[in-house]
Amino acid sequence: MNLTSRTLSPVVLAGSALAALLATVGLAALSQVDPRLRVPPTAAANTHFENKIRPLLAEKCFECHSDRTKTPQGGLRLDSRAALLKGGAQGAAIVPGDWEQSALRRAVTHADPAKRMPPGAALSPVEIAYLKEWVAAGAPWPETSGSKPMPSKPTKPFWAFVPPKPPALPRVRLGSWAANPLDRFILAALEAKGLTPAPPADRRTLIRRATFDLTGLPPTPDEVKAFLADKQPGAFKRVVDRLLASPAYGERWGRHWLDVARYADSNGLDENLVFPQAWRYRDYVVRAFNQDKPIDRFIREQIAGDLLEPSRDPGAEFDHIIATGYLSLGAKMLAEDDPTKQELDIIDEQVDTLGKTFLGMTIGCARCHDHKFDPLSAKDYYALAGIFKSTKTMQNFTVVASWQEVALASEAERLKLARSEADLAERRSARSKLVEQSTAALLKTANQDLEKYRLAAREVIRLQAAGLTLSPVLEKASSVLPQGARVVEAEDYIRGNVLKDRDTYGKGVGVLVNAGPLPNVAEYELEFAEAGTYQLDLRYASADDRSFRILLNGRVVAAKAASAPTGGFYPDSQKWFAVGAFTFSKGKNLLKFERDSYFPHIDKFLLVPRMGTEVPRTQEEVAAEVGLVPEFLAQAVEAAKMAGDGKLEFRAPEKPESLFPESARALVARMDQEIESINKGKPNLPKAMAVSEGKAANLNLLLRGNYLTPADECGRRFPAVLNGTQQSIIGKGSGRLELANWLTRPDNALTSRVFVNRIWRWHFGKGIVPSTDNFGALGDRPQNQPLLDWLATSFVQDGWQLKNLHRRILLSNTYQMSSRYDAKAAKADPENRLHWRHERRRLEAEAVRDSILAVSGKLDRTMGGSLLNFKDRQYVTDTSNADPVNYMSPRRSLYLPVIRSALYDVYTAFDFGDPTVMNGDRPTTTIAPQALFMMNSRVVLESTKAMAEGLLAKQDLDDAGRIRSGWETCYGRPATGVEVAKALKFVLGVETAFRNQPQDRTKNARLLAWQSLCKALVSANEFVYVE
Amino acid sequence: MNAHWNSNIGKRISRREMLRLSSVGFGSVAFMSLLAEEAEADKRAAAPADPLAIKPPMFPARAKRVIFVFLHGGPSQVDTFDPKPLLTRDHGKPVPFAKPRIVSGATENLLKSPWEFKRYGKSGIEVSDLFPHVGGCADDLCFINSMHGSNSRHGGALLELHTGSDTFVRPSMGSWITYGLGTENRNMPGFITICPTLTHGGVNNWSSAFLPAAYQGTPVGNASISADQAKIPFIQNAQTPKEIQRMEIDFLGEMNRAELAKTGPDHGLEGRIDSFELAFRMQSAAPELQDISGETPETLKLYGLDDPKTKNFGQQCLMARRFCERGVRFVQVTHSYKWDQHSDLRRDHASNAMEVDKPISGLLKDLKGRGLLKDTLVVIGGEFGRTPVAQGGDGRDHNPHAFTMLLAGGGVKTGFKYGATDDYGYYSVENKVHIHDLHATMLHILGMDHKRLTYRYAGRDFRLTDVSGEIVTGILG
Repeated sequence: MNLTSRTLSPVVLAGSALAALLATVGLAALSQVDPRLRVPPTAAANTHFENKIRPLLAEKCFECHSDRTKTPQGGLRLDSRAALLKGGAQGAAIVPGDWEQSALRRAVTHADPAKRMPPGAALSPVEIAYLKEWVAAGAPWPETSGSKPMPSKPTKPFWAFVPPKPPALPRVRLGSWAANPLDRFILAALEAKGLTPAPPADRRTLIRRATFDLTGLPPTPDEVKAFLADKQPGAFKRVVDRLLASPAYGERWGRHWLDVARYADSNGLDENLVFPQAWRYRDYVVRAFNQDKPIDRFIREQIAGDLLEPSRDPGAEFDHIIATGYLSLGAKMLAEDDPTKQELDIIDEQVDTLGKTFLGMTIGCARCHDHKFDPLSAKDYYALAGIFKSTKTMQNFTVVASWQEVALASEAERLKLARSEADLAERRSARSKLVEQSTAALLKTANQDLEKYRLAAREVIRLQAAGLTLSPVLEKASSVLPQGARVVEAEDYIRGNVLKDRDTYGKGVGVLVNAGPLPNVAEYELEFAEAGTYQLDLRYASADDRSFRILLNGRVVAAKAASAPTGGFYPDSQKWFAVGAFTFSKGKNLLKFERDSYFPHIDKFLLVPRMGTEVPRTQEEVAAEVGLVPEFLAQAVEAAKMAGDGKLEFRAPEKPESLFPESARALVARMDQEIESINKGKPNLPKAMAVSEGKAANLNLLLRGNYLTPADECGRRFPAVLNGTQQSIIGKGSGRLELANWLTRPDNALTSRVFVNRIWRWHFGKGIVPSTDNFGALGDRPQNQPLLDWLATSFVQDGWQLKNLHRRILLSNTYQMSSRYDAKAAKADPENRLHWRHERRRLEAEAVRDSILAVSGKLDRTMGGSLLNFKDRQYVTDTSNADPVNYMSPRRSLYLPVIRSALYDVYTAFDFGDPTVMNGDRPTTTIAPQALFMMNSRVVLESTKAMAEGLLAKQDLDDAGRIRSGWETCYGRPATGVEVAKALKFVLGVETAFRNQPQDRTKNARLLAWQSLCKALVSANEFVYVE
Repeated sequence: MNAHWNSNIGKRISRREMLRLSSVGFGSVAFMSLLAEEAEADKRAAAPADPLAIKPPMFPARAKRVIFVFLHGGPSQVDTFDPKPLLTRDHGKPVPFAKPRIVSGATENLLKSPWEFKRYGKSGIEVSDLFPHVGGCADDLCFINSMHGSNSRHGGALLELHTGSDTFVRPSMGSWITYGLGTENRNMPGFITICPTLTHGGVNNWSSAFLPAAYQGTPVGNASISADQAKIPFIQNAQTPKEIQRMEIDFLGEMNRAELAKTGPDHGLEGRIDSFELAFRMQSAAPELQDISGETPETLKLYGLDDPKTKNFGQQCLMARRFCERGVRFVQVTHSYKWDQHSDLRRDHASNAMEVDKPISGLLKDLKGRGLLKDTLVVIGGEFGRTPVAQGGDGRDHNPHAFTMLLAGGGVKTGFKYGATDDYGYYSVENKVHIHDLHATMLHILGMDHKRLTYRYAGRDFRLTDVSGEIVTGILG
């Protein structure tokens, strides 16, 4: 297929340039309107009206001059041509063809100071010019595009809104070629252009094509051999049946569906939280495809599974719940400060995705105004959005908001869970109450001691001013260790729960790093012959403030040691800092470091005896001397520096528990234990992202999509153009069940067509309607509507059985054509829209990776489950977490986590697309990063190494035999004599080149040379393109 | 309207001709490298529909490329480039008007800036003591004091600043610009982002969204990697020496051409053969471009590479110049998520400013010295500003209603202040510039009409500025 046209869209560019040109011509012609320009609504005039005039009127005038208000200002409405001509109290608003005489001109140009319109900011000169142009051209007002009310009898209904009927089979000349009706529709179109179908593909090509198509993997040499050997009739049908029955089929086609379900394992957008349960939806989809679940049921489950009877299949009893994850998987702005906007944005994402997925309609475009091109009104939008307003998707709309997860368990188990959770909530609230009270008491005491704090603060400031502050002894590299000083390596703790790292953060020196349990603790025993004052210096590295407490013999001597970041976490960022001078007793002393979170990377500390008349003291020591709390003294010092003896008001420390009196501390600890134990005993039920029924409510139409400007209430119903204007309004329940049933009704004009078109697209690389997600006016028209309608109607008649549809397609002669080039046909139909040959296609991102793993023998075929290693709702990415997920798993790519905003780089390179938005038509681009991936990525290097080792291990083969084996495995065909000769020469040449390299490469030269050959094999076009 | 715009994107236009036609001159270095690449460019232009081929602007451009210096977290305008005497006078008093309807956290009374402002240069523009080096460049800068956006959270605000939308996934401005103009050096991607942040939208801040993948930003490292370790994904492997890789690619080319002879003409297959050659060239070009060992000690010093505090960001800025010089269309450097001072404003704004002040001034001086500044647009700023009222004693909250952006080069007015905030710097009030307006203006400076640079996706013609955006003509020289 012609990929470059999509890549570039020169058509779009030319189109926009054309529109601009029209606009320019229009403006230039303003001064003197040529009467010839006053044409009845043409396409260009429609475009001008819809792009420029309707939005302008809607934005600037409708608020006061339309049916949005019960009493239009001045009795004037501007929302139809008739209304403009009728005018208001002041007479007609316009004189078509005569701008100068139009009242509208006087209003918008502020000709009359008393009647300046619109109120507020005046229209821009360009906007006025647009209006002038439009009125001068006779004020054409196209009635067919979205104006209210819907035209009851459009002259010729748009094709997509008329339900499909089984079309008559066309007459064809080459009737014998047609294996089934599908072929006749294709053949008729080809014959009409004087073209003939390409000859059938050979069997090797065919099995390779079908195997990639249905499973996303290459056929094994044995599978190829078996097919070649099967001389009985129906051999290809047997291959197709085998492939459809293999679990890999569901993995391949389920992944296609995940593209339109915008599946991902994380939220993306602003707060990239992990979706720890999303994989259940993914596995459900794979199961549904493998089970050949009727597609109408599949659709209904995703929209309203919770309201359907559960499946009786063993292991599938919760599938109907899991399926509704479809509605919940969207990316959400979880930190939106405005909860109403957040909710409406989430609903919008659901409506927009659902509209495109099932109906191929861009309903989301009607959120702010009537759809500009399709007959979808803003009322239609809010009528549908009301269904999701009445659905519970979210647990809450706070910052950061939580989506709902539903326990997949029996009623009794869920009840038990609910009881534990209520119990926990109660105890947590009791705990916070206690903390609150004790904190208040703490503050009260501190405030009573206000004068003491002021005094102590002055002392601290005096000490600081007198230079009785400390500087690290070993600050300079040239400093020498003073007499009597001792250095203690941080790793030499006697008790502690932190790791000693000597390889990464502590490479070469050894540091403490967090091991998991909090608080981080390390204790040291220090023995002194005499009591005395020692200065404590610390050496550590930390990129942020990881200050910790230091206790000497059970007493806090430093509340915030090591608060200064050093610029990094590695040894080259280590620095010395002075903590303070402390009095150590004779004999054993216990020095303890403690932090509620992770330690900085502590390398060592130094104790230096202090001499001199006045011993420097730290803030903590001053506090201890007079029995004050160091945290509050720090506040007092800060306040004294800012305001002298002025205002001093204590604030509660962030984690005040450690400052509580013994009794309160013990109580808190006991409560923590209880909470912990209830937490442990809580039933651990599997959960799924799922929706449920919310409070039934309608939405009001929101002008410009803004909830601060609500208009009429919109009863919940389906779009008028698809379901008529005489609909009953949904009363009870959200309406999701009604929506699910309506979508899958046989007479729904769009659902079946949109679905079979997707299937066609995934088989052939291009849809019959090329714009798979847009069947509206701006989408493409079907290349072959009888074919589309035949596929859709026969699919529905057949009970929405997808595997039958696959068979219909794969067993057609259309599918089995070769990709042979034909200059004549290429000239007549360069994009192969008519299917004169089978289109050659590049493998998708997943298939590229899976195939490389497959031919190297490394592919792990385990199905299902999660490869995520994150806690619930944890942030997947943060500033320091660049590669949140290990993608080196040899599982099929389908099972690799899809992390929004930090997509796997292989996916980024190979057109996986943005998993934030649905996409039924992945593009295929050819860009240099793909080649770099083949040349340098770890996946390719490790796989090709394994492949080379496998080839070299074949003792029964010589080198030529190994080359032939490589060709069979990768391409499913024998290598030609020339290919074998060239490959042998290449391997030899590379081996020699490696032998000329320095040291270690030399001894692996043979393996490395074979790896080079394997790299070429999997990088070649023949490997990544399917004929 | 420029006739080129209507024509096929792949149309042949000689670079020499473009140079002659262009109203804007080139820096001499860029000029030389351009001529050297001309043959290559011509060959490329002839190739069928190359998405990155050079496209002429819609009308004569003032700048050819952009460097965006992003200070992530929300630098405070009233402590940097927007002095507010009344804020100092009324320190500690309540703000005399309503605070915004939507806020991100509770705030207190007015908090004066702890820093003094000084006048710089002939223009006498006031810059705080946080930015003495940037202040020294005041006569080359345009200060837009009246910026405002719509989102008060980092995630939304970053997406809005980078893509124009805080609600949906949209292409990044770098992608739009590369889509509009192509790229001048096919050995490198057209849009590069150096050490970008992975939070607050992450890759969506440099993704091409629905635009073709060729326009996506290529990250060089990320925020957790120091600038001297930052690399393009898959750019090298340790085991294959260059000459052996050359043998591999020759052999592969031979296989691919043999297959092509069997299949008949196919653009996809042909394009893929070329892509390996391009990748091979890129593999040599990228490390060479990142190798700063050939820079003079004076240049290194200019960017602060001699000081551990400024070394990392200085290296990012220096790389930005090197990329731009070789024809990369859009380069972003990011001072990652550091500017979010809800508390400890005095300490942390000081250390943040220390890290970027000299590198930014170095970049501006270096670009100017090499003649690159006149056709490079430099944009400097954060995703929003901060409140003039205090939070947590010594901090300020997010404030999308007022912040300052610095522009340089690309024919914008210099030594010039545009727009103003209220007496306390809470809201933009005079000549307000929304982020959409900034985007519209950036495209205008690059010779593109933001209303006509569109791409059809899902039934709609999308653009960077959505349905808004006014060109800020007041800053154009």
